[in-house]
Amino acid sequence: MARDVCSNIFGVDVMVSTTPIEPLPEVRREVTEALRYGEALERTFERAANAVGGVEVRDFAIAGCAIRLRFAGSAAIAKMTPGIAHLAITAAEAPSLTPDLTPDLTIDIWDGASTGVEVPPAPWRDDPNAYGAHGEVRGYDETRVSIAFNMFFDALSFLDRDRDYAAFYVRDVAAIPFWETAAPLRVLLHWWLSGRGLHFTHAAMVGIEAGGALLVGKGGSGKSTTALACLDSDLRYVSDDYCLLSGCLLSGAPEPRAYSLYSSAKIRPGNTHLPHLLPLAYNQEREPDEKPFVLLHEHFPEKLAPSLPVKAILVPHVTGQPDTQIAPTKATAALLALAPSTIFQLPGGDTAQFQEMAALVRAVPCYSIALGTDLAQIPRAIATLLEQVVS
Amino acid sequence: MANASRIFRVNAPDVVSETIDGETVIIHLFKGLYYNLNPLGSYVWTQVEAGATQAEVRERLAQQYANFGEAEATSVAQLFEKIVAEELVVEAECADAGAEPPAIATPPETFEAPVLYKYADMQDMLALDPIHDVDEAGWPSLPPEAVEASKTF
Repeated sequence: MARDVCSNIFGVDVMVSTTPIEPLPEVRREVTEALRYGEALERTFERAANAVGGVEVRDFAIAGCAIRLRFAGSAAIAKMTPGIAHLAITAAEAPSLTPDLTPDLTIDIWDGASTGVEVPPAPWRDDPNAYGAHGEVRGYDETRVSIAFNMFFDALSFLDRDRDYAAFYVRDVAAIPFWETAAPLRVLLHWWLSGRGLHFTHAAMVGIEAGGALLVGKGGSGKSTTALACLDSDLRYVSDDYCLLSGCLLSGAPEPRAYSLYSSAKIRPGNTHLPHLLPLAYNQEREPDEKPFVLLHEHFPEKLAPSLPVKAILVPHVTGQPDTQIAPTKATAALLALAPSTIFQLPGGDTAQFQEMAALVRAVPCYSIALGTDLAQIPRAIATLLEQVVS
Repeated sequence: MANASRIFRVNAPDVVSETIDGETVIIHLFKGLYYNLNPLGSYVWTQVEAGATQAEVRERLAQQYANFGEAEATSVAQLFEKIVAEELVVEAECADAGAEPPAIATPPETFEAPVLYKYADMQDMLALDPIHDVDEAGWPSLPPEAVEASKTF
């Protein structure tokens, strides 16, 4: 008999919603309205900067793209740059990126509390159906403009793709949570980089120079612990939570490659495997409900790799047994572990993103990795696998 | 029971699917749900994608499997009911002339009842209730329990 099974491939019970979910009514809005709002945001940023003594500029090289963050004053810098500090560039390192030239993407960042300048009222404010599930503003031509409001800490993200211009406004810098400091600007970077063939991916990545293993799975599956366990080995580290994947496999581009995005590693409460990392936490003075996170470029700079080619995909699961073992698994198991947790994290998940991930699991061999409690075995097992698949 | 002569199409763009090595992964982007189908279910799915009716699928399976009887036909019918109930497919007015050919040319070697596995563990990443509460500037707000949940990020 056909069955509707509520379970989890890793043996974890899951909750199934029993409440019918009504589809949102279709919304159409004129994109010119959004573009005018973007221009208003740009003017508002200038007023905010003037109010606090000018613009502070920080430049970053993210997967080969020059991204300029312009801050109104300095209030938000310490909250918005630590997680990407390892990608910071200076004029000396990149002479082509000077104030006289246009970076690939410019993001204006300011807050209302320190500048006294708030964003203009939203043109969609009277529309009860304006917002989607991620706080994204619905109805505009998303090939041109994307807008979302982060309800967790009252922040507005705006992207005009044609102008490579973005704005990020937060009501109060003090409200920016630790997870935004650890992994800033996820929504804007996801939107803009996807247009460059770089896919924001919920995955860890470690490896050797010839190639790496992409670790895929939802939070708690063991990918982060695996990546961090590799810091004590010869393996290089690209990410433990989010990375950027290039490839455009559907268009027959070269091999997929994973790029470093954030150097922050969050330590889950109750993770007893990594006690040596806790004293290195960036947020030593944290709230009780705040996770510690370590900026790896400050403590393990030699381990960080800017990018590695993807040669294997690993689906981790925790066993409680001492030994670590790797065995081939189905591509669909890897896709189930990779796609939903990536697509549902951020606004804008769509068919193309899913097809790209499907192409990835088709092209790259997939394995399950049963994670043992003897952490030293984990990097050895991964290194042995990689030496086999790259040879 | 669903009318066996109806033609369905995948409920795009809300639903996306990929079939790899005889298994199918399906994501309902709007609902925050995802699914996979075992090999027989995957075969049925690819036939539906190609515009086959339930009656046509049943006929092909009957030709393929000597032991295809009433119980097997019922299991296939129930799968159709499930994928309709989950809004993974919707009724099409007519067969899609441009439909992709089935990714699997033949069914699995042996008949194993179709199974639709359903996962809902990502739903907490989405605000499933429509966001209607906004302040005078137009900015939405979350209920306190959602703010509390964000602390686990």
